[in-house]
Amino acid sequence: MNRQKSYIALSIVVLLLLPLFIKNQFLLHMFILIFLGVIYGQSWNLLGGFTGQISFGHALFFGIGAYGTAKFLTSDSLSKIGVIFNHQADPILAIIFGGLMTILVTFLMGTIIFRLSGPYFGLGTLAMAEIGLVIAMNLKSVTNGGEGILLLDTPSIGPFELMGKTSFYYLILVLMLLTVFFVYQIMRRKMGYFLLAIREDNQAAEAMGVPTKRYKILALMASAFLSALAGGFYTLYVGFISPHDVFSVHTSVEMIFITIVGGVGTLMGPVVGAVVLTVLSEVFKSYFDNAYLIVYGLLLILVILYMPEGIYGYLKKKWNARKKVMADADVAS
Amino acid sequence: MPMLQVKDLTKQFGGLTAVSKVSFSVNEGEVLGLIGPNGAGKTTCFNMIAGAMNPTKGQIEFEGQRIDGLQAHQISQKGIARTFQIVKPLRNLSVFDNVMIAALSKSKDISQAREIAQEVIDFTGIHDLAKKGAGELSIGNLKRLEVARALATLPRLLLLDEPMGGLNGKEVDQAIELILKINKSGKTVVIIEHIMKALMQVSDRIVVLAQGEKIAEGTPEAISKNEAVITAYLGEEYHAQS
Repeated sequence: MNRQKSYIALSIVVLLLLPLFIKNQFLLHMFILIFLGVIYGQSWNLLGGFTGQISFGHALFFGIGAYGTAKFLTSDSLSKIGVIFNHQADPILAIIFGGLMTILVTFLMGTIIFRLSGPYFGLGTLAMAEIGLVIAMNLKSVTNGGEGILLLDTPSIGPFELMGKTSFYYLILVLMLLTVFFVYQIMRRKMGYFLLAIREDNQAAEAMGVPTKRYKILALMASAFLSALAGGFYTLYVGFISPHDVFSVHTSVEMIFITIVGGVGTLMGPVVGAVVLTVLSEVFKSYFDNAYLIVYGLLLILVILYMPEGIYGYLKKKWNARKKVMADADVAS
Repeated sequence: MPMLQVKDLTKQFGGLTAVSKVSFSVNEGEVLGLIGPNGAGKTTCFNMIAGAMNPTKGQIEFEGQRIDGLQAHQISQKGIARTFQIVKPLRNLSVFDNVMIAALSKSKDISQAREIAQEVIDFTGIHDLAKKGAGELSIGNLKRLEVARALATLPRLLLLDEPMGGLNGKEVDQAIELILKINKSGKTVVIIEHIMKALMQVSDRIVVLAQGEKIAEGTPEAISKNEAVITAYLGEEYHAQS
């Protein structure tokens, strides 16, 4: 275990030092996309992978987080809240504000959506995300409709202006590390075990004394909050959001792919998935031009067919089998 | 006062009455057998007592408190645990974790739950399987895991739904031994079982259901001679011939 800890510490140090050596802006951009992918992969995995509630509508939470952040920074009345930190932490407060808005929405939708289960739950979440899109398009007084919201000022945290890739790299790196740590902490506690029990068999979990409905709503809230963080960061990074950018089905699907390709129901799965898919989609884009989606799609089909437990799950299985063979050999000799 | 009292319990599924005005009581410390032909409404009774279904009509009192209409996890908190006829293991988790999660809802933290789980695993004799995945077990061991998981919620009343279904002779003997051991440790047991020989051995009293209604109640000896019971099981014709 200690060896594992030192590996983790080492990789964090490497990631912290990386921008000192990488001056290539595109490469930094890639890292930012990967870290963003890790956050929303973890978000989806918490509800879909660990709790077994397969959502097709996580873009809803991403979108609310993105809009909450944008509104906080652009609306006169909301941005006054920033005074409490003398406007030194506005982007952070904005992201948190987006997260809280999302939690509020999940609290309201949680009691309704968990009346559904299995495929119907998936369809329900898909519908919820579409409702989010329609509202964002039409509630012009709040969302500015299809024109979207543009951030005019460069946000800054204390003395650091969020300008250039390096500053965004550090912001998303911190958010990602916090996300992974957060999910790790949930999964090693009582709540984590309850979520696994719900995934494995809802009725058995109830009979074992698990208040399944309450824990499903809690998992939804935590998961949605993480997606909102990712959405909030997206707003800051891109500086412009519109309904079709953030509430799109594409975002929901991307979260699922990252988790499934990496490994469903594992902490490392979304990390592996985000790295592999982000890198591959860029490589394919440069080789196949517009046809890259076809190649990308084929790859996904292959992974799902031949490694249903995902890349990380597959490697872990191989590794465990090898360890077992070696242990047996030890016993024999 | 009986520990569990069921009064006029009725469950209708649309036009079908699965359980009709069934009343019985369970005294603290006893083993009550619940028998009846297929479709008699035994499991439906369990589902209502354990909170998996709400009764259409009737009352259920446990230790003097109304519990009908509560959710399954609330019933578990009150001190009633149940096993499932069709086993419901948490397949991708280890046997130990299955039992540990059941203990978690009554523990303040994970280490306490681990202690309870270890005790229950030793008590039920599944020690050797603790590290195995629950999905790899044989049906005999799965039935044993069901019982272990129910015990880990620290119940005072245990509802066992066909704990011997699908077991071989030797496993049935072990199951009988376990049930008697659980009863001796101070827990009250209600058991549904089709293996009559086993049921007669463990039960203090037996309640017989047929087509949703209670048709008899009494000691195992009395039940085995009861005409209504024999008719329900073997049919009028057979009864006439004998």
